Amino acid sequence: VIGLYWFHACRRETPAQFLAVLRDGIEPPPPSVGVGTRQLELALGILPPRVYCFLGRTLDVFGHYAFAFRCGTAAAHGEVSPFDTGGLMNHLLPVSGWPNDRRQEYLRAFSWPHSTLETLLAAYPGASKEEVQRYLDLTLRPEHPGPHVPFAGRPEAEIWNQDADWRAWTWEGRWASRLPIRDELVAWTCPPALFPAVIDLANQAHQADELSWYQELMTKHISGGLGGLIAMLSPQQVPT
Amino acid sequence: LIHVIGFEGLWPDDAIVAWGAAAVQTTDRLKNSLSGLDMPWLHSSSVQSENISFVEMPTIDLDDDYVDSPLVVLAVRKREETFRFFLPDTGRLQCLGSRYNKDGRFYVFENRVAFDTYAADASLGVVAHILRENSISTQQASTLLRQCLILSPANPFVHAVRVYFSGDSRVRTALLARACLRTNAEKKTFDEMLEALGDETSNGSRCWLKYEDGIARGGGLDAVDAAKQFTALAALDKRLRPLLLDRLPFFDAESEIPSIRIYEMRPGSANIGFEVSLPDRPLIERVARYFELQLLQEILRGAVPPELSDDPKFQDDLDKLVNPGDETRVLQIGFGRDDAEPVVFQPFSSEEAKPEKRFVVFGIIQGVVGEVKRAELKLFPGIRELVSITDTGFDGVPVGSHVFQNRNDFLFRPASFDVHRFIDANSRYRLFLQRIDVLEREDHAKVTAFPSSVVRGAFVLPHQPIDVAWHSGGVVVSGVLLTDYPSANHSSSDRLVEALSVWAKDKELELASTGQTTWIRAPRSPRPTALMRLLVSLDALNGRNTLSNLINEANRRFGTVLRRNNSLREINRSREYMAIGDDDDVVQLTNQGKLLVSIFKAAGGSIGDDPLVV
Repeated sequence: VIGLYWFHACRRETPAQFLAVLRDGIEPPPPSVGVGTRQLELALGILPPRVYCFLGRTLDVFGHYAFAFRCGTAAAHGEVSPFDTGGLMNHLLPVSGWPNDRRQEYLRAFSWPHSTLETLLAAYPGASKEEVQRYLDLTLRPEHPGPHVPFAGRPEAEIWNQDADWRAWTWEGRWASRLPIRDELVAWTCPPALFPAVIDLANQAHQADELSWYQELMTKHISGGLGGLIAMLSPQQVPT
Repeated sequence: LIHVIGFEGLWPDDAIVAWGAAAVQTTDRLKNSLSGLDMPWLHSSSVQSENISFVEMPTIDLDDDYVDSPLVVLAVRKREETFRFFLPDTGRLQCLGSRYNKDGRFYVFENRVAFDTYAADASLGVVAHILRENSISTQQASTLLRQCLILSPANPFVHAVRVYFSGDSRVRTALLARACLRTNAEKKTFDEMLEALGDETSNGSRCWLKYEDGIARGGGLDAVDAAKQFTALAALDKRLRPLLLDRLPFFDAESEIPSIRIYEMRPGSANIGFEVSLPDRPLIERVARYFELQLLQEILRGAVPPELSDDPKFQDDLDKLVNPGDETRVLQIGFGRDDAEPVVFQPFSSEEAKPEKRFVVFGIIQGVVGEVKRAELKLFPGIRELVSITDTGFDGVPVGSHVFQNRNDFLFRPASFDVHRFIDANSRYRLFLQRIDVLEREDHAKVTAFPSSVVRGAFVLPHQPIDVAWHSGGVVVSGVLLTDYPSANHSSSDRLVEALSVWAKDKELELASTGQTTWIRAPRSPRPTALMRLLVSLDALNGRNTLSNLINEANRRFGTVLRRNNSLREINRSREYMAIGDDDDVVQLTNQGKLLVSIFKAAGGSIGDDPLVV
């Protein structure tokens, strides 16, 4: 059983659009949206566009809407890597200085199906309480210089070096099609000032199943925005 | 220095308040104060270009000691007059800094606990305002309550009032509101508050006390009996107020709580009707009356709150209300109920009680009651004990009780009372008089116990007996002249018990500090005072911690909703037990405070929900 949760932060025009994500799942953006991300994906050979989530925390330092969900069967069609792929293009030395084909080869070597996640996590960061605590502590880098040590036989690059920050060693999940999170949802948040608008939407529910879903959703609300969500869930992810 | 340059989230135009994690800028990083996530950051001008999700604000500089603190920013938009409800009292809250600009006012709190304390205070202030304002419109109430939802999304009082104003969608709103609450205690408070508020269709605004046969035979009550019942009711009403103040945090003082309202009397047998909804009266009165009558109903169902279960005066008044005379049946019809139910109150029964400890105490004979069957002894200003003067509890008559039959000058006389404490099956206690020695001038007496000033219901048992004497100069205890006592009258006796209680308070601490005493524990742990809740909680935090953590621990431990201003007031008037820094931040137990906690524990005080230590 994996105790760590996947996190996703997003922006939406209205609370209703965000609630639709919680209810129906999150879709990869069309190629025309998020030009910067599309360019990175193309350079790294990631096609089609993906939905991105991160294990244990978000990659966004500040956010509007966010949610956390369990690593269950709904996420099974994804792939995972032990770093932020965007960093391979931008700042994760030495890989960010390599040509595209070598970077793509590096990413392929460190990409696995989501179904193997539990085994992968046993290798890095480990399954013990201390190892998970260390992973969640932003100030502590892994004991290894790069992922080639826990995952031997793959290209060597010391991307977890002294110049890197916590993004470099945060597990990333990528999904090429809709990611349904409704049944695996652990908690969600929104900007506190928008919570009354969320309540308004819930109050408009008339169908019994819709009202029931909103009731369950309210039990999973964590106040305080993205910062509050991560602060609240971090201790819960550590095995007892 | 570190710089708070914004807060996470959004601040839509229709929101008076907003809050979130602080965006904390250090030399070259920008950090989310709650999650700890950070990023490289060199130029504040890049806020827009980086598309970062935080609201900019005038920079508030803080000492770099706070770089790892879970800071929270509050923003209050200046709009109409209602924004004043949401301005924090920066002097008493852990507010580290504030700045204004054209958009509003911005405040930085040290941590989430400090912010939540502010948010609860502000929300309860709004709730109280809405309940007090007879003419408030649904729109006005809704606007205010939306701000409370932003600040305290799981506040049961806020949600209950919101449901009250929800009109046709009441059922749906209530279901969703309840889902927003986290703990069973919050849900219980919400349910009770919703009942208290009622609605247009509510039939639960009236309840009844019914007397049948006995004093009600033939219908109605004789004026003398009615006066006795109403006197008992008024006495109970007074005793319930401190409990209500504790349970309804939007009241600031007992004087704000209205009295139980008798609304109707029917002579059928003798039915006394109580009403919570009066025309053109503020909603807050209905809420208060409802909670008080609800509490009384529960008491009449046998659920006496622990804080009153060892209060002989309360028990006596309750006994008068529900046992007015032989052959009288007393029933009640509770809120929203159709059928009458018999009241359940078992007065203390010496037949079922067991003797626990015998000791001698000093006090004043305050009076005799019940056709000279019981005497009222006054030991301290707030401690009176009713004792039988015909029964020792061991099928005997107390030695010296003839003074009540043969003399008429026993009133207000100092006396030593040799008593045996009995405990009944419900852990209630009564003192049974074994011997009474009414002092004459120049008499001495040896006493072996006195009431604890720290835990009500407990007695201090010094290792050495205490000498008491009544001289021409006054009453002397342990060689200390307490007060003059020229003659036995009401004012002299009041002066004496007051002086006695002051002496005893110091003596208890002195004996405890030198290990020269033990205690007869309170058989039931009475609900601790606000001071003791704070002291016990601080002791559990190793005697020193921040005020926010202290309030948090006290609320967790005792299931209370302590407010910061009330706690600070309590600390400020108890400086001999707790020291607090000039910045109202760190609180520390003094040696006297530690001593008080040790007495409290030894005397059987409640330490609340103490985690098990393995």
